[in-house]
Amino acid sequence: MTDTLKKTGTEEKILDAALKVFARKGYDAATTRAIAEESGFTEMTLFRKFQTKKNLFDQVMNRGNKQIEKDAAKLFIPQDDKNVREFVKSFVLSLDEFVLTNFEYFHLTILEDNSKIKPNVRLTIDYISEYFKEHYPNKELDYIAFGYSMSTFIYSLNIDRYYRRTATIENYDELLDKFTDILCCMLEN
Amino acid sequence: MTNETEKKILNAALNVFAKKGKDAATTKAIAEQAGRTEMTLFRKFGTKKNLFDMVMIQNMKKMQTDMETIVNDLDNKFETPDVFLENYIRRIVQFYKNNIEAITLMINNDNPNVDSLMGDINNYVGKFIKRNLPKDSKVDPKTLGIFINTYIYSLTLEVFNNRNIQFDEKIEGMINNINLCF
Repeated sequence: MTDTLKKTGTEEKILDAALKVFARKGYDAATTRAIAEESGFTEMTLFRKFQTKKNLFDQVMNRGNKQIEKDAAKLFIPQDDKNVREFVKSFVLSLDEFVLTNFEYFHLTILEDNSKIKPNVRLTIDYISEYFKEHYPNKELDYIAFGYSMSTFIYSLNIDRYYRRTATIENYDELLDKFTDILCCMLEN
Repeated sequence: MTNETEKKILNAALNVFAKKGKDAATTKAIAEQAGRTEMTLFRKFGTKKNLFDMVMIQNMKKMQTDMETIVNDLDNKFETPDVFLENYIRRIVQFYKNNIEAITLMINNDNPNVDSLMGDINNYVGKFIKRNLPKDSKVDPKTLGIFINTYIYSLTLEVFNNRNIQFDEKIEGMINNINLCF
């Protein structure tokens, strides 16, 4: 029992470190040495647990996928009766929180992931389209583009946050508010 | 003016930096792609760091010029906001396609100059869109500009990374959706 816990702890710490280094440096430039250092374990321990850098990367993405699935479920909980603007605003805020929390997975999925399986980041984006179509049916609206554009806007703002750029997002709340206005006028047309 | 060799190396560097990332890109790979020796590369550019900076400076200038051309071609030329926006979006698609390597390098790196540059671009685009939308529009022009740019950036990057995302359909869908606001 203690042994299992200890093992899990080490692996989790290495996965945390790997996520951080892969996202920051990119897959090719991320070294197992830097990852080991970041995790506080030796490179030997890293190889004993994960064998190869490729396998480590896959494990990072697997764990991310599970995390995304869990967190995405919270985005789509049934809403009380709200007006459109309140509904959209609260969804935008939850989506922003979701992307911020899982930013490194998002970033790696967009920049580095070449797996054949559709990652949950992408499935979530598809589901946003479905969710709005169900709640606010509007024959004129292209829901696929709607869900996708919502996600890319929020993702891009979080790229700026991640690299600590402020010029575009200095009035973050105001920007999300104006963004909500755009989404609402599309939905309400 | 840069000569032919410098141009070849700068173009190869842009491509290799964008594909491999700044840290994993090697001067060897860049020299190979340029069809020049590594020694020539170092003679012309000194260090990899300097080469990277030169690539960024050259491309930032190019993007600025490209953006100014779009504004000059489109400003106050259209009767209605939907025709303006459709033309604008098509030009921006071309802009991102032409510059995706430099743009993705700019955006996905710690680069202190990028912050103010992107702020400037967003303000510039915002003012331009504002002049071409009705005065009483409910839509904030700068936010709309960021909305359009971030969408097209992400789609173009997906194509650059060889992912099939139905680019044209998604662009049409966005044009359709934005027009619902006017």
